[in-house]
Formats: sequence, C-alpha cells, structure tokens
Amino acid sequence: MLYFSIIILGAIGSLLGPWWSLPVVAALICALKATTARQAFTVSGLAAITLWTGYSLILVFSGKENLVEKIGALFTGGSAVLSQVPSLALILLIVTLVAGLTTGFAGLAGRHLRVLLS
Amino acid sequence: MKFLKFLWSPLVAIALIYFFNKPLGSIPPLGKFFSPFHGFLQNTTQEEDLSEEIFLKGVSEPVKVVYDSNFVPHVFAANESDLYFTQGYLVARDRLWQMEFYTLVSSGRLTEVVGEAAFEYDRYNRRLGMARAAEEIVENQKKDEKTWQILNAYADGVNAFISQLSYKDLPVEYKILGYEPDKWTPLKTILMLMNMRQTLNGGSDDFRLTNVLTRYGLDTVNDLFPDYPELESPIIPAGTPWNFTPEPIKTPEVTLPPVQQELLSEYITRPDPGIGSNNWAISGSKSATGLPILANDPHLGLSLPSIWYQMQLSAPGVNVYGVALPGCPGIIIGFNKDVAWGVTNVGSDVMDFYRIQFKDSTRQEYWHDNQWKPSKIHVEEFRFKNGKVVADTLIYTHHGPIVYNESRNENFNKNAPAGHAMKWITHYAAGSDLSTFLALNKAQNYDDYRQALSYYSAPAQNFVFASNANDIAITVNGKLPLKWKNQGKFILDGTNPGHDWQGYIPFEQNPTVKNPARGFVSSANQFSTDPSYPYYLDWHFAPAYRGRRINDRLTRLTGATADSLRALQNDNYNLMAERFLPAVIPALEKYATPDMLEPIKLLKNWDLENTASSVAASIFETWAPELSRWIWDDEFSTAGNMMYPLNDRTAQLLAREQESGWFDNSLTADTVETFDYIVVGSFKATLDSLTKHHGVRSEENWAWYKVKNTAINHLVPAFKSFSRSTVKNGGGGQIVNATTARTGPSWRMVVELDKEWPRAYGLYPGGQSGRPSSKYYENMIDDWAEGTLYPLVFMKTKDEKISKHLKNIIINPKK
Repeated sequence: MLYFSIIILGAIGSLLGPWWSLPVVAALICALKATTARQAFTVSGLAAITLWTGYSLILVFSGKENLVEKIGALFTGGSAVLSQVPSLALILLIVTLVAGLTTGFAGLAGRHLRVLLS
Repeated sequence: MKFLKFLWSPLVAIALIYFFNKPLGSIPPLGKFFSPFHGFLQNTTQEEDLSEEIFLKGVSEPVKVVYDSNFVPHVFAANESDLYFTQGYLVARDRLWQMEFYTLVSSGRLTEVVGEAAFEYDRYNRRLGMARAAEEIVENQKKDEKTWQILNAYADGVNAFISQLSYKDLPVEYKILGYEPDKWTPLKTILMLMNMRQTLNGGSDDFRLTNVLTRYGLDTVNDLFPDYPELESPIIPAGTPWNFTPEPIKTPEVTLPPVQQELLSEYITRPDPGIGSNNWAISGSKSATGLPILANDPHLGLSLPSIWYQMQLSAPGVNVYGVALPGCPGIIIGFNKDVAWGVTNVGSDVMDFYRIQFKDSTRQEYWHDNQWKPSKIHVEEFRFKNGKVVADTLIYTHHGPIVYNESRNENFNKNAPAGHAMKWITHYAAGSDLSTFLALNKAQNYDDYRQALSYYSAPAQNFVFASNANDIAITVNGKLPLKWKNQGKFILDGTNPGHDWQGYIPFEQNPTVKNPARGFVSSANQFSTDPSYPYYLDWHFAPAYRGRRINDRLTRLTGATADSLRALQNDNYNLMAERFLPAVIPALEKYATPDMLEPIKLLKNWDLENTASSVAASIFETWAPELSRWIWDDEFSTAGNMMYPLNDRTAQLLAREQESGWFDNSLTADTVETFDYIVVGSFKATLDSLTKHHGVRSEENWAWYKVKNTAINHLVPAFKSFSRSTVKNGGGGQIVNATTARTGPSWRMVVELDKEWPRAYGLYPGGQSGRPSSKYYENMIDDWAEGTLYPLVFMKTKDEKISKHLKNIIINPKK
C-alpha cells in the first residue's frame, strides 16, 4: 500500500513540480503511514526506482525517438572501459542510484521526523 | 540523544537532493537530468509530425503553416508583422539553443554558460568589439521604422516560444550545459549577423607579410607576393568598361610601415581558406528553357545544427523561399516568383592594423597627426558560470580597438599585433544589411535588386542575380574602403593621418556587370576584377582554380538545365593538380625508388577527379601542402609568424624556376638542396605520412573520403555523439565541390526562372530540426554527400495541395 501510494502520488507530484517532488512526497507519506524506519527506507527507495526506471523504459521503448545512445556516449566518451557498458544499462544505473538514494533517505527522514515530533 | 538519532536522516536526504540538483563540474545536475519526468528523456516525447492548432498572443490574424515532408515550414500570414512573428516562433521551436549560442559567441559571453575554459576566446571576441558595434547598429536600425518593426515582431515570436518552456521542454543542450534561455531582442539578431562578419571578414595576413618585409625586403615581397596572379579569371569579366569617374585618393609619401628591428610576435587569425563559396547565373541564351538559371553554394564551417534553415515566407507583398539564418528575419539566399539571388564572400582587405605610439604605459593618449589624442577606455566584465567576475580593460583609438596590449602565452589568438589598433569594417554601424535581404525577398526585377544592394555594408558579398525578364547580374557589394595601392598590405603607421582610411567606394562604383556577352556571371571568391579597376581592393584573393573551372565549364555550356548546374556544383576536377603535376612528375620518375613506383603510376593515370574513392587524390592532396612546407618553411615559417608565398606563385616556381635558390633548405648550412631533392623528399614524406595515419596503401585505406575525413560536428565539438564524421564524399579545398575536413557547401541551390512559376532544387548538410533525437536532425547529409538535390516545394497559395505534405500548424490570435 505504502509502495503504491508513493508511486502514484510521487508521479503526480513529478508531473506538476520539480524532480525532487518525489522524495518530498515519499517523506510525507512515510511520516503518516510507515511503521518502521527500515520499511520507510526500503519501500520509498524501491517505489522511486520502480517509478523512474519504469517511466524511463516506457519513454525509451515508446518507439518515437532515441537519445539514450547519444547521451550515454556523452557520459562515457572519455573512458574506454565505461564505453563498453551498454548506454541503457548505464543510464538505468544512474537513475536507480539517484532516485533510490534520495527517495529512500527522504522516506526514512519522514519516519524519523514523525518519531521525533510524537 | 533522541534528537541526534532522528535528525541525521533528514540532513542526509536534503544533502542528497542538493547534491543531485546542481552541476558537478561539466556533469549536468543528475537529479534534473535523469528524472524521466524532467530530464533528457522528455526531449524524445515530441509529436513533431502531427498537425496542431495553437493560440498565441502576438498574431493579429490566423496564420497557416504547411510543413512539407522535409520538415520545411511554409508560412502564410495576413500581414508582415504576423509573418515575421511566426518566423521567429518557428525557428525558435527548431533551433532556439543554436540561435542563442551564436549570440553568446559574438558578444564574448560563453564563460557564463561553459565557465572559465572559454575565457580567452571570450576576451578575444570582446576585444574585437563586435558587441559594442552591434549596439550601435541597433541604435541606427531604430531610425528605419519598417525594419525595426520586423526585428521586433521576430523577437516577439521567439519570446512567445521561450515563454512556453519549462525545464522539461528545454532543448537538451541547455539541460546538459545547465543554463536557461534569455529573452530574445533585436540586438541578438544583430549579434548573429556580427558572427557572419567575423566568419567572413575576420582574418588578416598583414602582420605576417610585414614580418616577411622586415626580414627579406621589398624586392622579395614584390617577387614572391605579387599583386595579381599569373592565372586568373576575375568575377567581372576582363574588359568590362568602368563607366564612372573615380573618387580621388591621396597616396602618402611614405606608404611602408615604420622600420622595425624585430619581427612582430603576435598575430591575428589567417583568413580561413575553406570559407568561400560559388555562385553563378546563366542567361536564357545558354539554358534549355530560354530563361536564366541561378546556382549558389556558400562554403562555411559545417556544423550541426546547420547554419541554415529552409522556409517559405508568404504575406501580401511577399512570397519567398530559401534559407534563413537562425536568429534573423527574412530569407538570406533564395528566390521568389520573379527573381533569384545568391551570395559568395568577396574577401577583400577590410581589416587593417595601425602601429600605435602611446604617450606612456597608461595608454590614455596616443600620437596622431602631430598631436597627442585621448584614447577611450572601456572596462569589460566577464561573468563565469561559478559566479566569479573578471574585468578586462579595452583601449580604443579612433582607428579602432587595441586587440592585445602585450604578448602572452594564453592569448586566445596568438596573433594580434601588440600595441596595434584594428580598423575593421565590422565596426561600421551605418546602413542595414538586413534591409538588403528583406528587399531582395520582395524584388521583382533588376532595378529592385540594385536598390536592395545599396543598403548593404558588410561582410561584402558577390550578389548574383537572375530574373524571369531574362536579366542576369553580379555585383561585388558592400562598404569597400577607399585605399591607395597596397594600403593595408602591411601594418600601417598609426601616427600618420595619410594612413587612415579615406572613405568608401561609392555604391554605384562597386564592380558590377549586367547581362555580359558571354552569357553568364559567376564568382568563387577570386579577384573581383582585372587590374584595370581604378580602385585597390586587395593584393590577394582565393586561388583562382574554382573560378577558372566554373568559367571554363560555363563557357562551353549550352542548352543547360537545372541538372547541368547541379552537376557543376559537384564538379570534382582538380585544376591545381593539372597545373602542378606536369612540373614535378619528371623529377619523381628520375629518382623513383621501388616503393614510389606504384604511387607515381597512380598519379600519372589519374583522371584528376577528386572522387570519394580516389587514392591518387589522397596522395596529391597530402603532397601539395607537404611540398609547400619543404620549399618555403625554412624561410617563411608560419611558426615564425610569416607566411608562404601563395599557391599561384609556388606553381610558377615549380614550372619555370627550378634553379631557384628558394629550393635550398636554408637551415642546412653544408648542403644545397635542389628542386629534385625537394620534390622527391616531400613525396616520400607524403607516402610515409599516409601509411602512418591510414595504414598500408590500399584502395580501402587511402580512399580520399577517409583521408579527407569530412566531419560535421555539433556546435559544441565535445558533444561527439551529436556529430557526424567521415562523410563519404569527394571534393577538396581548390575543387568546385569545395568540401574539406571541416568546411564545405553549407547550402546548395539551383533555381530555374520561369514566366509562370520557378522550379528550384536544394538541400544542406544537416536537417531542419536542431533536436539531436529528431529524424530531421541530419536527414539530408547522405543525399548531400551524394550530390543530389531535392525539388523545393514553392507554394502559390496557402490552400494549394502539395504531394509532399506532412502536417499543418494553425496559429490563432489569443485574446
């Protein structure tokens, strides 16, 4: 439940606001609904990863246009080792790290603030 | 304790958001950039092929825009204000980042978006004074109400687009570099035109030739750097009468620069030999239709997005098709129902340097006309991306700015003479180049063409013209300074008022010819006229090979069609090789070693065509500059801030002066190198170099297109994946198909004039969209390389049914 509410409300927040709407939404929901710190962190992180990688994959495979190879090459241009990694994998890795870490810690922060204030 | 236990996680979360929200060096903000809701993936969601109806404040009547299948918009507006508003809006939709980037370059503001790395480049561009001149031009432009309104309508259109954008909609380059677009203004349009002045008029050999003069004296200069080439075919046919009384010009008693002990250690960029162009028009006497056909291919640095944007612009009083510069209203090269026109660069000497004698190190006063005159001091501020501000002091004399005060290693352009003021046509602020193009868009006949040209200042262009009244013409046009013979061949004396520019050649006296007997007009950046023209323009122009080849072929041409002229645009014949090889091959054969036999055979059997697959072309094109180095570099080293004698003089030396002392390498004291030694040695070095860089000789490895390696790079060359490399085509620097590693025909157009409706063909090496993920980003490159042209869709009315229809956009007024 927590997982789906973060995905749905996070998506709405992201459509309307800046990219960090997602961690803010996760923090609020975890403050209200999460029962443990561990749950707040993992569920928030997983929900964010699901949302960002999921939407990224939809955009990549929607068949319209592809920027993944070109952007991937920009980020790995200087490194022979990195340029062996498929661009999509590299981009999904960054997406996972950024979304997972910020939203995971934001969810945890929501839970912690709740404990602190109650 | 509880406090600490529960407060660390909010701090970590905030720190992470902060960290991912800002750029890390050259890496964009990771949070923004990789969020699928905001970042680069949003740049792939456009529905570029679907029709739309939109509402905008700024148009007074509905505007209909028809896109053809090449993504070219055909704009039909009810009045001119709506027309140019829509042009600004549409160009911005496809090219906003590019337009703004050009203005940041010419105003020296790149540091604001890329940081300190651009500082020396910015400083150089500021010192050239382009932004200051652009501001003056804007002030003058305000007095011309009509053009001023068009400039503003265009800016309003661009701004209407900018105001629709949120972060997720920004062109991807903004997201990568981490900045956002600023409001568009008429000043930015003028800054865009400043870029063209810089590109086409921004080079000089003055200081280099002055160093040659200092080192070797006037006799050597006169021998090796003559004022007119042996082989030439000038733009205005030799023998054309000059029906005017020339303005008087006072030649001072002393014309040479003050004697110097030391060579000048700094200099300014050389004119880029790859920047040039071809254009021509044939009269009805040579065409199959009995009416003129006009062709133009401007050679510029090749880039993605392309420098050109195709459009049709239609409103009561105007219906024109052609290419526009992103950021400028109107069409620059194109045609309408009655006329067609095109441009090539004149390249005459419009940048001179004056040696300035300052009173003291404050440089507040300088000596001129027997008195101390005050200099003007401006302080320029540079804002870096990280917020740091750096100031630079700029000194102006009445001649112009001092580009560098002292030689410093980090000076961007190693080259501007220390303590030398620059006099440059780019600072000329009167006239209105834009009015010229806007008037050509509406021109109906030869008189309209002449009237339009009279408004023009710089960069001087050879304006070719053809009309369906069977007139053809070409005019060497722009503000051309009145000079005494060879004024500005060397550095000038800044203390002597006799060395100041004395005004400009009156417009009516600029070289021009209408309907010459030979049945065609043409230009390829060669000498404007033969030496009988009463004014001095320059001592050197582009080598005459392209011009001579074009004129040879046009002379022989009869019953021509658009396709004949398309074929001529793609002519790969190497006239330079035809001239050079007979002089040097005998020496090669005399001293051939076994490894040279096959390459020599290739050269001897070569059809002299620089085709994409030719190995002989690779050998010759690599050898020619190597041979030049072997002959000249010991005495006229470019590293020593001198210049080699020109191509035409080198050809004469090789053909007829094989005993010349210049073949001896002056750096080897105990041996005397001969003609044979230089020819054979440079040839061996060429083969070694080709083997080293391209592998063992084979048809595959040494194919000309691989050795030439034409690349079409993104405007930020570091964005390699947005660029194209090793385009498979032929051509070369002195070839009509003037494609080199980084420059080439940036637009090819052929127009068959007609009493009813013209037929036109064209394309450019890129695509209409500036978005790297669009299918219209580089879709024309392969056909361009093949040398094909697309039929251009020139609509008669907004409701005409066209077969290559893609979509419509209707722009309605927003209440």
